[in-house]
Amino acid sequence: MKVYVFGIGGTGSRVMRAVTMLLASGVECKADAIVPIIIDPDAAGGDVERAATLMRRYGEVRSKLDFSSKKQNKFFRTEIMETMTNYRLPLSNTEDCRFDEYMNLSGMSKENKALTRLLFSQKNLDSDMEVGFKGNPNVGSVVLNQFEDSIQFQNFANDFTAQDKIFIISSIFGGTGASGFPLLLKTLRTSNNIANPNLVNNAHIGAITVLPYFQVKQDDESNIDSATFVSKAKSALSYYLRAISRNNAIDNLYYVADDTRTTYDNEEGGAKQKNDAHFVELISALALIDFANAQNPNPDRKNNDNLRTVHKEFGIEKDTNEITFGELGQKSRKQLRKPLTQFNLFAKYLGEYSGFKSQPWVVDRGLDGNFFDSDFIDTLKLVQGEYLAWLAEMAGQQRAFTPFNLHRDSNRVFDLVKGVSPRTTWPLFDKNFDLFDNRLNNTGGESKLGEKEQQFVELFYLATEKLVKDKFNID
Amino acid sequence: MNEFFANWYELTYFEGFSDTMYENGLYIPIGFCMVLIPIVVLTLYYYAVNSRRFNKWWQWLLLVIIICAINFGIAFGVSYNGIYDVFGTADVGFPLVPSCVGFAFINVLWTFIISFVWSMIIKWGSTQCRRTPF
Repeated sequence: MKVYVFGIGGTGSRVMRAVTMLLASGVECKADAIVPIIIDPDAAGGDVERAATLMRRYGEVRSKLDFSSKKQNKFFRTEIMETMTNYRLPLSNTEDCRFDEYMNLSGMSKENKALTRLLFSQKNLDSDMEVGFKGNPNVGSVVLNQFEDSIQFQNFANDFTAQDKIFIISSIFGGTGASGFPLLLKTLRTSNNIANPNLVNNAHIGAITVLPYFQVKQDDESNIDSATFVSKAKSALSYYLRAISRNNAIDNLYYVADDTRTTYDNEEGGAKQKNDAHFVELISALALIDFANAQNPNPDRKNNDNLRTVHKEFGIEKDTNEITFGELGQKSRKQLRKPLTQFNLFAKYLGEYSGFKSQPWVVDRGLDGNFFDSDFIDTLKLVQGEYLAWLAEMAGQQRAFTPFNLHRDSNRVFDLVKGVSPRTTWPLFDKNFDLFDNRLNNTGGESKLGEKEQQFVELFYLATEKLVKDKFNID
Repeated sequence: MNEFFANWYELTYFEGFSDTMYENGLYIPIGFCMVLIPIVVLTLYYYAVNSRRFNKWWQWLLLVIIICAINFGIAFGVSYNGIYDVFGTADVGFPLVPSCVGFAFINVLWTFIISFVWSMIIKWGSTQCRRTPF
C-alpha cells in the first residue's frame, strides 16, 4: 500500500522533511511506501530544495538495505519513492510570467477585463510568480487549476491502485497551500479527465491543514504580512467548512496550530525561504503516519450516502515552551521516544567517534577503510547530520521541542534524554563510547549476514535498541 | 612431571645447574607456575574482565609482559633459593646467579609461548576481546 503525499507550498516541503526524519529513525508506518509529490511554483525555494535533497539521500541509503522478514532493522524501513524529478509536480507558465499575462488579461473582452480587475488588485495582477504566490491564495486558486493538464499528474493517476491512499499537506495562511488544497481535492474527487477516475475519485484521502504557527518580521517592501495570517486562516476555514467538511469530500482531516510563534525573517521566496524546523511540522508528519495506519471511514464511498469525515487535532499534556518526551501524550511518546533516541545515538557514534577501527564488530564484518570512505557512509552521515540539525532547529524555537541534550561530550554520551538519568550498566569498566562498542561487539545473528551496508545498519539498530533499553529503560 | 618440565627447560643446558635442578625436583613448581599463571590470568582477561576498554593489542601485550615478569621472578627465586638450600652456600661450583638468570629467561620464553597459544585458543569465545591481540 502506497500513500501519495501532496506537499503543497513551503509548509508542505518542511513537513516532508519531518516525515523523512521520522522514517529514517524508524518510526513505524504501515505504508509500504510514501510517494511525495511537491507542489510549489517556487522551484528554487530553499525549503523545497532541502526536502528534495534529503529524500534523495534517504533513498540512496535505503537502496543498500534489505528488509526481508528476518531483518529487524527499522531505520529507513519505509520506502520514499521518487516518481517525479526532484519529487516536484511541475507547474507551467509560472516562471518569467506575470499573473495578468498568465490570465491573458490583454486578450480578454472589456466585460471580462472589468470583472478581473474587480476580483484582483493591481498589485496581484502585476505580481510575478517565480517565487510563488506570496501569500495570495486568490492568485494561487487560478494558477493551480492545471493539475489535470499535467502529464505527471496523469502518471500518478495511472499508477494509483485500489489499496493506495492520498494525503495532502498544506498551510492555510500562505498562498500556495491555501489555494492548492481545495483545488487538488476537487480534482481528485470529481475529475473524469484522469486515468483510473473511479479509483482516484473514491480513494481514501486525508489532509493536514496547518494553521498559523510562526510569524515574519514586518517589511513594507514585502508582500508577506503575518498580521494577515489569522484573518486569512479564518476566511479559508469557513470555506473549508462549506466545501470540504460539510460535503464529506475528505475522509480524514487533521488540524494543527500554535499560538506561540517564533518570528522569522521576511523572505517572499527563493533560496532564502528556508525556515528552521518546528514542532508543528513534526506533528504534521505524525498526522501522515496516523493516516497511513488508519482505517478508511468511508470504504465504499461511491455507494454510501452516509459519508463522514474524521477530524483530529493534536495536543500536548502540558502547555509549556520546552517540550520533552514527558510532555507528549502517551501515544505520541511511545511512537517517538525509542526511534528518535536510537537514531540520535547512531548519529552521535558516527559523527563524534573514530576509535572503533580495530574493534571486533568491525573486523568480523570486514569493514575496512574503503567501506568507511564509501559513498554509502558519506550519504548516511549527511542524513544523520541533517537529523541533528533538525533537532537543534526545533530546540531553538519559541515553542521548543527539546527532548535531547544535544551536546558533543564524549564523557557524557548517555546524558542524552532530558528527564531521564542514565542507569548504571554492566560492565562497569565500559562507559560512554566504550559501552557503545561493548554492545556492538556483543551483537551477532542477522547483523552478520548480507551485504556490508546491510550488516552495518542492522548492527547499529540492534545495538542502539539494547542501549536504549539498558540505559533509559525505553522499549 | 619433573621429567616433563626438564624436557622443556633443558633445551638449553647449563653445566651443573641443570643437573642440580633436575635432581632436586626444582623444575616442578616453576613449571606449574609457568603453565598455570598465564592460563588463569588470560582466562580471566578474556572472559571475566572481557572489556572493550582493555581490548587493544598493546594492552594484551602489556599483560603478557607482566605475566612473564612474574614468572621470571618465580623462576629466578625458586631456582636460586632451592640450589642455595641444597648446598648451604652460594659457592656451588658453577656460576649460580648467571645460571639462574639464564634459566629465568628460558622460563620467560616458554611463558610467552604458552600465553600466546592459550590466547589464540580461547579468544574466540570472548565477546569483547576475540580480536585481541589480532
